[in-house]
Amino acid sequence: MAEIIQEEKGKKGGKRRPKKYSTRIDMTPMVDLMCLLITFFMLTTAFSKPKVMVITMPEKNKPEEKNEAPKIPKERTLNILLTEGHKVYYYNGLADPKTPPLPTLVKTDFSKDGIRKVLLGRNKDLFTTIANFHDSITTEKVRMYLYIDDSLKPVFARAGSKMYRSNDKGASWISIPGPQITDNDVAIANLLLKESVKTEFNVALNGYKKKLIRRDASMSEINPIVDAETKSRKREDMKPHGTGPFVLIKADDKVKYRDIVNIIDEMAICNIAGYAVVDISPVELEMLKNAPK
Amino acid sequence: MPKIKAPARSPHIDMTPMVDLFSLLLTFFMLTTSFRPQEPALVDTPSSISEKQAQDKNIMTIMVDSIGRVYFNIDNGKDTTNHTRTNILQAMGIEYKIKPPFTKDELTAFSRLGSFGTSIDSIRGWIAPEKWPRSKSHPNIFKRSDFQQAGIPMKDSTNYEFRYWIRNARKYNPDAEVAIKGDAGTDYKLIKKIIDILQDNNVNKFNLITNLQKQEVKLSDIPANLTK
Repeated sequence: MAEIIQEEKGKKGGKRRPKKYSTRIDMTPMVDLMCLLITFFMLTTAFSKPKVMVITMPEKNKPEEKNEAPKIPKERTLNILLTEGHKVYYYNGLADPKTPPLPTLVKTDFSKDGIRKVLLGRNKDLFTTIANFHDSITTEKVRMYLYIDDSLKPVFARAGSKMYRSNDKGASWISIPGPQITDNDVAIANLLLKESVKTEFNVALNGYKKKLIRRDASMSEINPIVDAETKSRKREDMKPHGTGPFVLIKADDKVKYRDIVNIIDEMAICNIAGYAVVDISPVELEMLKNAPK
Repeated sequence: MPKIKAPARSPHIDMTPMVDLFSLLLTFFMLTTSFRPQEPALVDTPSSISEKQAQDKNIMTIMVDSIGRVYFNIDNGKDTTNHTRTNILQAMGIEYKIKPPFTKDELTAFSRLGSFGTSIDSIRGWIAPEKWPRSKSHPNIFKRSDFQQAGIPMKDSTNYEFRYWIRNARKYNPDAEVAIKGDAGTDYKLIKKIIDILQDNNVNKFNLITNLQKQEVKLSDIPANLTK
């Protein structure tokens, strides 16, 4: 392929042969062009989509509907006041001018030892639960078990799952490997649903029994089922235990957008279950004026 | 002594493998490319730990730059036969009694464009800057950026154009998600105003566009003594 036919030279007499041309094509211009195009595409490609932080604001009270705002116990309320110069103040409970004395404001900041420590301290119970749950997943304490017909045993033997005897005749439990539900497990579930005629399967996730319902499934259809299982489990664990704080975030007019995003981000970092961005009250504005600088 | 002759070699290099590789790369980039949309202003977004990705279709984006100019963008939604953008502009034209009414060409051109930040009176110029009449003070041909100087009017309470844009956008594509891309240094007051207007139109869920910046907290970070 890469040989070159060279013209033979110095022939004496004989037939005059037509001149032989090289069969090669000069590819340099093509390569040049391709280089250019590749560079162009590489530079214009937007690989990463922007990231978003989702925030749900409390619904506005409409004048025609006299809905009362949900009541939060005073002890659980933590008020965070933001003001200019990235300053953060907080106080516990409720500031009501009718029942003096007003709570005192404590000054803090956005640093690691600032408001985050306060939030973590208040949210200790919930945060510990979540951290433990996360640990239990990563250290393989949580496993998924599938309740199957014995006719399906060969399918799972192929996939290398462990089998456990069931109390029922002609059925067994199969552990689906992996600490988290992986693509592999979805593939197994998929296989199972395809090869079986049964319409329902029982699944146990760390002691909780769930039902998987058969569908003519593709991977994309199974995913939501499995996802829903893990999510519902997660949510059960994450339910606030009645001790976590409810954070009310209030900002005055001079606050920059960065601070608001920062404080909402702190809520996510500290796993605060209940928080809301609400309007600041005149009393609190007054308190801010007299706050320690 | 006779000279030692090196065997004559062709100076050509075989470029076939290189070309192969290049065409592969080229194909890859051509197929995966989604072009970066052109943005009317530079916005430095604040950072957060959120890793959720913004959806790229069916979204309305409100951009606020560092000096508080507001830009608005909405795509044509899932079903482009609804002509969301066209309908919105037409409704705005009727609401603000724009004379003469927007032509079909203008509406189509608008539906293909992106983020805008201009008042409704001069949006015609933004759509087709070359057709905008020149004046003594501005003898040159206009550019699109000339019409993006002020953003969508929303500070003036009598001329609340932004509110009507949102209302019409909600009317013609009620399922579009709302994303707010605000500059970190912009006033929260302005963002709050935008959020208020959106809430008046029954939007309570907002996607704030942020940069990813990871931060982690461990159990050991919890202070031992509770600060009560």
